[in-house]
Amino acid sequence: MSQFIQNQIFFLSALAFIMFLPGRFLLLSVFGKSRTLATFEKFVFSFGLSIISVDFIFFAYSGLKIAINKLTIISGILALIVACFAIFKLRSAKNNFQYQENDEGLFDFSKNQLRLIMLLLFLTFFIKAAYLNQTISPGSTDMGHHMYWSKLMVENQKLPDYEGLPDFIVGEQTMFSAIAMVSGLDFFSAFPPLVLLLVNILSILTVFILALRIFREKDIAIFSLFFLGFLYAVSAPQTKFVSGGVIGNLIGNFFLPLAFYFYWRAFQFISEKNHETKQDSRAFLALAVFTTFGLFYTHHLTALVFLFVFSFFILFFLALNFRNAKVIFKNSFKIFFSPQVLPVFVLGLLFFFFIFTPNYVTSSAVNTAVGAPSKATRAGLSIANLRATLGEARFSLGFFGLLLIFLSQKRKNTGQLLIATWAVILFFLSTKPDLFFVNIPSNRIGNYLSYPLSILGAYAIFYIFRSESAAKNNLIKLGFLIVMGFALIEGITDSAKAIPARNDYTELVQTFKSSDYLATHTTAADQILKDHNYIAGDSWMKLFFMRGYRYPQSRGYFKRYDDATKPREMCTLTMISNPGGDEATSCFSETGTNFVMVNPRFDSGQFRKLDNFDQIYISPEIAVYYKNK
Amino acid sequence: MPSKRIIIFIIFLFVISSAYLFFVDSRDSNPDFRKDWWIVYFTDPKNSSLDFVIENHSDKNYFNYDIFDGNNRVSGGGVIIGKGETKIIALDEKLGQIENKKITIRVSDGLELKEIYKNFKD
Repeated sequence: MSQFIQNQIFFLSALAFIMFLPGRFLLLSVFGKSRTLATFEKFVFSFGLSIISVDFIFFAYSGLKIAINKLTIISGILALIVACFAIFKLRSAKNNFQYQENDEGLFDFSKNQLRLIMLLLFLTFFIKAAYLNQTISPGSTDMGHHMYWSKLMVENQKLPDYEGLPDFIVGEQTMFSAIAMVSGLDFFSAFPPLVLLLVNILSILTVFILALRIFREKDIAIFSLFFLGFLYAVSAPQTKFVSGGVIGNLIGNFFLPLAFYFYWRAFQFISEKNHETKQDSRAFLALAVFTTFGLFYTHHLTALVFLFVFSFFILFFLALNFRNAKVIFKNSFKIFFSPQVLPVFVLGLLFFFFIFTPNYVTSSAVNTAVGAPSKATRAGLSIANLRATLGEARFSLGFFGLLLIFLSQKRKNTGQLLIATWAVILFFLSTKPDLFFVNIPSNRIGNYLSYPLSILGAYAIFYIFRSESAAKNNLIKLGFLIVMGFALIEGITDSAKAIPARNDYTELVQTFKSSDYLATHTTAADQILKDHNYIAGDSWMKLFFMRGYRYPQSRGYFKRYDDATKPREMCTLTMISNPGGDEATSCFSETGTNFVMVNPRFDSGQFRKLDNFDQIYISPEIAVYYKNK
Repeated sequence: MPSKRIIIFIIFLFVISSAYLFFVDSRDSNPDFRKDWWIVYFTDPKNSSLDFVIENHSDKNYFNYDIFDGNNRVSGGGVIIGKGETKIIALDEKLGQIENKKITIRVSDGLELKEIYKNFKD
């Protein structure tokens, strides 16, 4: 029990120290104690800025060839906190915080609104925790891969080279390494999914804030929380991604609205002639640039989505405000070429290209994401697919909200245009990827749509039922109840269906037990082959060995060996499927494989009839064979 | 300040979720909690040692083992192993010459049979 309490204290303390304090002090150095950001905004954004700050501390250590360990991480964060505090004190002494906006009132909710927000937050946490109750133990494939790199950072005390693999980006793993180093917690615990749960909740709260700021209507923000937090709380990209360890998407869905928020606050009055390029705009643009670099260091797909949305937003905005183009460029120039923004931009570029460059910035990685769709799964989703992915209610209301914005006089409004562009570009990226020359699984892009559509759906609901006459009209009230009832039933049913049956984790425990056995009884000179098809949690096995990302070798999903677009090696397949055949014999010789781990219910007969294999380990779900000659 | 109340409420919900999910994870990853399984393995997989281990995570306590040289039973015995316990069974001295043989160890809990083997055939 004392160990449990100790783990909780270490975990929560590490979380506050690594994921909250750096960002909080960064905001203090930027805005001082001004009310430019409301308390709630400071709370939510501190997490995002902390994650990015810690990334840059890792990169700086890597560039300076300083070991990344518990001591240096704590020192680095403390140094950042002290530096930010010193800047705050210096600027306070010079009365340098001349921010004028005070929007704390926007976050003053009525008692009923407060009760509703708390109820929605409670239900959001409750549904997510109910799902994680069945899936919290380590076992998901993606999480296993990511935690390998995180553990490697902890063991080697430096950033990994990812063995040249372009699919892994350092920002997906740094915070887990930092938490593991500082708290001492094992990766085989609940801490990785809990960190992701926090990130997921923060992404929802960022959307809540974005909706509140842009529409300046508390009810729209609350409805956004309803559509994104409470309803569809489990389906992708929500809690399923948390337990599945889809880290890049989750952080991306947090950083994307966060970056949009900062850009929007920097440029919201940009087309106004009397717009003064106040500190606000420059500070917000500096934070926006900082967040953008954080996004590019974390997830290439979200970064690509950001580039598309942001580029088209600029195009649409200029087209709609063509008459003010001169003023817009003049104001933008003043904001960008300022002492607040330019250093952040230049430093970001220096880090990105000279200190630590993500592996995906290579021609091969870019080539795999750009071009004509190479598979049916990349050729675009149908509307029916999209409706199923996003939920009928959210899809319909979201697009109705989009239509309302197009028809409204406020379509030139920077914020509303941003939300509309976000939804439109994602819609075409997921349904017509060939228009953008993008070659990425379409359903992965389709999932992103749930964020802008939740805001647009909230706007639609608010728009339809907002007037006082509507509140008095029984027919309209009935309509409201029917729409909300439909959304409620569909959203909750979606979550209820997704919650899996109780799992006793016997299979997972057996995988880990056998991995521990092999890690103890083999050396790096031994080559192990395991099966991914029938062994639970097999991607976590590599954390027992720590002998390379591709160790142990893996027989992948059968369909992967039959990929017309990408010829695969066949040894991992044949060494298990037909270990006595000529092809397998040659593979065993080439690869030096001498241990094979399979599920005996599916793959044992072929080994049992061979004299050159010993069955050295047997449990209900795992059999291990040793090639004795 | 309503927004401060929301912040405190979010922290409260996260702390509760964290404590609960840490508890669930530590309970579920316990090899003995609500689980019924056992393992047999050689203490050394690579050399000629035939010492083996029975690791019990089931509610059964008595395990019977038989040693076979090909199809001939050459030795055997029974052991009592409690849930969560492990027992090493040393065999080498009992078997004598093992060259050019396939030695199989069959372990049963009365219902289920598991076997491991080493092949010394040329």
